[in-house]
Amino acid sequence: MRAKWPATRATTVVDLAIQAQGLTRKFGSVLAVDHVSLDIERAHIYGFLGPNGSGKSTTIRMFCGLLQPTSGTVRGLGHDVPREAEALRTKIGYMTQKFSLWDDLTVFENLRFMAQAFTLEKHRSKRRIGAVMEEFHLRELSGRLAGAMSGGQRQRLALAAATLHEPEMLFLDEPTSAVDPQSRRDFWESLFALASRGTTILVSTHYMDEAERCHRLAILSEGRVVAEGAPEQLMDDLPLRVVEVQAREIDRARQELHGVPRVRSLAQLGLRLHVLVDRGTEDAAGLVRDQLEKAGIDARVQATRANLEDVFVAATLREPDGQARRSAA
Amino acid sequence: MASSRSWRASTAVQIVPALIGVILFMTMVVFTAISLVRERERGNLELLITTPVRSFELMVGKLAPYVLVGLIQTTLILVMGTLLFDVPINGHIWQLYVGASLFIGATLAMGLVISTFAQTQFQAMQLGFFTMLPSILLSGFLFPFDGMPRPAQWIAQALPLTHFNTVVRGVLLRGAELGDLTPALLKLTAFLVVAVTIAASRFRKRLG
Repeated sequence: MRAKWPATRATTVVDLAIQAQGLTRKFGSVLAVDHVSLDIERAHIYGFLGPNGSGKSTTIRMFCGLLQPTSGTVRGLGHDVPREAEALRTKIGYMTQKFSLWDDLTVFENLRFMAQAFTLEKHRSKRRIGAVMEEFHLRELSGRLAGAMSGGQRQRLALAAATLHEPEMLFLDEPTSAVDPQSRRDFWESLFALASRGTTILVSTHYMDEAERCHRLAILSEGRVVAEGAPEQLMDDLPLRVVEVQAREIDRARQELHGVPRVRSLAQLGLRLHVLVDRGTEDAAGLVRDQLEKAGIDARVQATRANLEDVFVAATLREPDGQARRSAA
Repeated sequence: MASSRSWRASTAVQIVPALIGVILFMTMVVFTAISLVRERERGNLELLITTPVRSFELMVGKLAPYVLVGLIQTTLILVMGTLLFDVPINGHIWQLYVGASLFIGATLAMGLVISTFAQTQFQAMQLGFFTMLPSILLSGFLFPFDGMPRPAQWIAQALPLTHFNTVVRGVLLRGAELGDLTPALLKLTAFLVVAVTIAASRFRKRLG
């Protein structure tokens, strides 16, 4: 690692919170994470997008030193992980996928306990508990048992507890999987506020709209990073053309286009169909239009800009030989 | 009538002191194992290991309340035993508490070891019972130790409850001197050291 990044790198403008190199983890014979290499800049919101079982949680756990990598290296906030994981622990906050504070303690008791666990001294502890209760609107819930709160309230409590010790970096493992849309919006407002104050945030999700809000994004599939970049850039650089089809007989259109050469994938969005066509195709919209006309389907066909879902579909497409496609992004 | 009464009294005097060990064993092993596994099931442990809390602190924090619970249980049984069943206290009571503290430590550590093997509360409970039954059957609680076959006696020697019962009966019934109890207390100490070492080596702040 030293040889690869000479000392001058530290003085460059880009300040990295996480540097991972060839990170791999096996559980028995199962390859959960397969040579993940990525850099996360400080004060950025970095997203992990991927289906369940794509290795998001395992990667996050290796980043914070909870799991030993089978091979590869991680540097987190200037510490070698997991060797210096203890030093890293005081600088990070971690929000588990499942609510993991104590159901039988009140909001205040949970926060006070976490403040003690992070060895905040008395004065600071009092100030910080007051501050997070204010910031996450927990003041009026102070005496409520955590077990008796709604998904959104619990999630606010979990984020409050994770930020109690003013960590430099936050790891959030699918934080919004159990909350309503309004709570999700509020939650993201909080994340932006934290990032603007300099906190680096790594958030895993399987929601496209959340992924789109991240400064930068890695799409994971079967333990590998299949695409990485800013969401805008990923959409611009998509190695496929996107054709949008609007038709009343959307099911038939779908059947007609299925299996047509150079059509890589079809995704239905209500009465619209997103057709992914090989980039080499000169007139992708024409190809789709001809196909539908031949079948006598009345449809509006036009080339369109890729959205993040198209990027996701393209990145996780399988080649005929069974290999997941490596994105050109 | 009189003989039946004295029979009952002598049975109570034999059984009630031994109950201290049995009840401590049941509660200490099963409760610690289950309470730790429950924390793992609920995800509390995953959160705790991301904090700067050390494994050692976590272990002590989990066990300390049970030490107190165990000593209260001991006291309760002693009080009930003397008031209701005329159990005598012939020796020095502090010696019994020394033995109880060692025994509680050893059984808590056993519970901790079980918690590192069990994945679910149900498994923890099964493993708890698995260690509990031989202890109750072979420790001299149900059958006199000297009447048991040799192999059973060897197994009994490897159970902390056997030695704790020696201490309890020694202090309460025989009024034994400290010198008499030393071998049993040393064996209990050895159990404590071994169990804590195994527990500490298995109870690490990692998920895998």
